Amino acid sequence: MGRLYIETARENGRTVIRDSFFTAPFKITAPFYSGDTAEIMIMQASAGILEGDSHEMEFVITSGSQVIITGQSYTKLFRMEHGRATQRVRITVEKDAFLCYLPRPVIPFKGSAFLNTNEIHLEPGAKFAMQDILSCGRKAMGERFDFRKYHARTVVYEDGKPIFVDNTRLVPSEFDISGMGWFEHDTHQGMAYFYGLDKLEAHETDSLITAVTEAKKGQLMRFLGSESDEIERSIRAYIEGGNYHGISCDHGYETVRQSGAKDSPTGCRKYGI
Amino acid sequence: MNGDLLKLIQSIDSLFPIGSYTLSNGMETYVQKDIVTTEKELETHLHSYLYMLSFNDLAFAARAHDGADIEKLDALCGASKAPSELRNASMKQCIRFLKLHTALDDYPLLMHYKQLVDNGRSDGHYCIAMGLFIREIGVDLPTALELYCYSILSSITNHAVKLVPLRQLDGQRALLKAEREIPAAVKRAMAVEYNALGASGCGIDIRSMQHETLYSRLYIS
Repeated sequence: MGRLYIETARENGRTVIRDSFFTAPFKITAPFYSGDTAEIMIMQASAGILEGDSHEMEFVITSGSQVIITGQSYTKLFRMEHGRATQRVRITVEKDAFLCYLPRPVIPFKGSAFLNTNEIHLEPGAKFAMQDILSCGRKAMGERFDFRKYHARTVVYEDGKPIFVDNTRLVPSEFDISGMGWFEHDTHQGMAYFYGLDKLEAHETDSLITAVTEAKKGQLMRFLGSESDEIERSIRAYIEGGNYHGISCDHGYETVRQSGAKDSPTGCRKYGI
Repeated sequence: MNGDLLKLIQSIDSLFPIGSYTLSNGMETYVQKDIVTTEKELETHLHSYLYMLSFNDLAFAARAHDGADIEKLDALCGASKAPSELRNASMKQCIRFLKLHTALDDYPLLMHYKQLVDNGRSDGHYCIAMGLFIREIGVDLPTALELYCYSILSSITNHAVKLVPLRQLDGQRALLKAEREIPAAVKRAMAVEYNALGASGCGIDIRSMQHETLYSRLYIS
C-alpha cells in the first residue's frame, strides 16, 4: 500500500510544501515554479498499478497557496487475474487557495479492475480544477474496452455539502460501452471540473466532441475523442483561458501560451497538438 | 383494478400537468446531430438510456421508497445530475408533482419533502418524490418502477417519432423492444450499491449538455 501526504502553505510570498510524507512507490519532486504557482509532480517507482495495490493520497492546500499537481506519466492499470486495485484521494482546498489537480490519463489494460475514489473538500473562496481522462486500453495494440471494471467516483463538497458528483462506472461485460450513450464509437473520454473559474465556453473540433454545463456549483466539461493528449491539452488551455488569478501552466505548455492559446480556449487545437 | 395503481398511472401519464412532455432528455440533440435517424438507432438509444436510468432515476426512487435519509439522497441526486437542464427539469417536475399531490390528498412523506424544498434544505428531485409517492400509495415497488420507467421511455419514443420523424409503427416497435428490458433494469436499480448511484455515460451527458446551445430547440432538455 502506497501512501502520500502533501500539505502546502504560503510562506514569505511563495507556495511551499509545509509537510509531506510518502511510502513506496510514491515519490515527489521539488516543486517547479511558474510565478507564484508551485507545480508538484507525483512519481511512482512502479511501472503501473498492479492487482492488490491500494494507494492513498491526501493533499491539503492551505489558504494562500497555489498549486498544480500532475503525474509523471500515464497511469497504466496492469492485467489483474481476479482481484482489483484501489486508489483513494482526499483533497482539501482552503479559502483563497488554488489547486489544479491534473492526474495523467489512465490506460486500463485487458483484465484490469480499478476503483478510484476522489473526495474533495472546498471552502467557499477556494479555486479548484481537476481532470480525469480514460482511454479504451492500449489502443495501438487493438485493445478496446477489454478491462473488467473501471469505477472512478469523484465527490466535491463545499462546506460539507456535495455540489458535484462524477460517477464513471464502466463494466464492459455488463453493458457494451463502446456505442451510443457512452463512448459513442470514440476511444477516449475526459471529464474536467472547475470551481471558481469564469464561465467557460466549449469549442468542438472535428476530432473532439465536448460540451460544458453549470453543475449544481462549478462547471463540468466532458470530452470524447481519439487521443488522451488532445483532451489533456485542451483542458490545460481552458484552465489558462479561464482567468484563475496568476495561474499559468508549466514549462511544457509554455509554447501553447506563447502561441496565443491564452487568448482563445481553442488555441491549443489551432496549433495542431 | 387496484385504485392505488390508478393513482400511479394518473401521475406518470404524460398529460399529468408537471411538464413531462416538454422534456426530450437529450433526444433532441441525438436527432439534430443525426445520431438517431432510424428505428434501429432509436432502439439503441432506448437501450442505453434504460441502462443509465437503472443507476439514476430508478435507483434514487427505489432508495427513497425504502426509507433512505431524504436530505442526503436529494443532495447526492442534485450533485449527480450535473447537466443543468436535466437538473433543473427534475426540480421543476418535482415541485409541481409535490404541489399537486399534497393538494389532492394527505401524503405525509410528500409533505415532509415539500417542506424540505420550501425551506431550501433540499433541491427537490422528481425521482425522489416518485419513490416517496410509491411508498405512500403502497403499490409494490418493482411494478411501480416498471411503470415509471415505461413512462420515461414512452415519452422519449414519442419525441423521437416527431423529431426524426419516424413512422408511428417504428416508434412503437422500438418501445416494445425496450419494454422487454425494463424488468431487468428495475431489478438492477433496486440492487444498486450506494457508490454506483448516479453513474452515467459520457455520451448521454454530453448530448444533454450540448442541448443547452442547440441552434433550434423544441424541448427544454
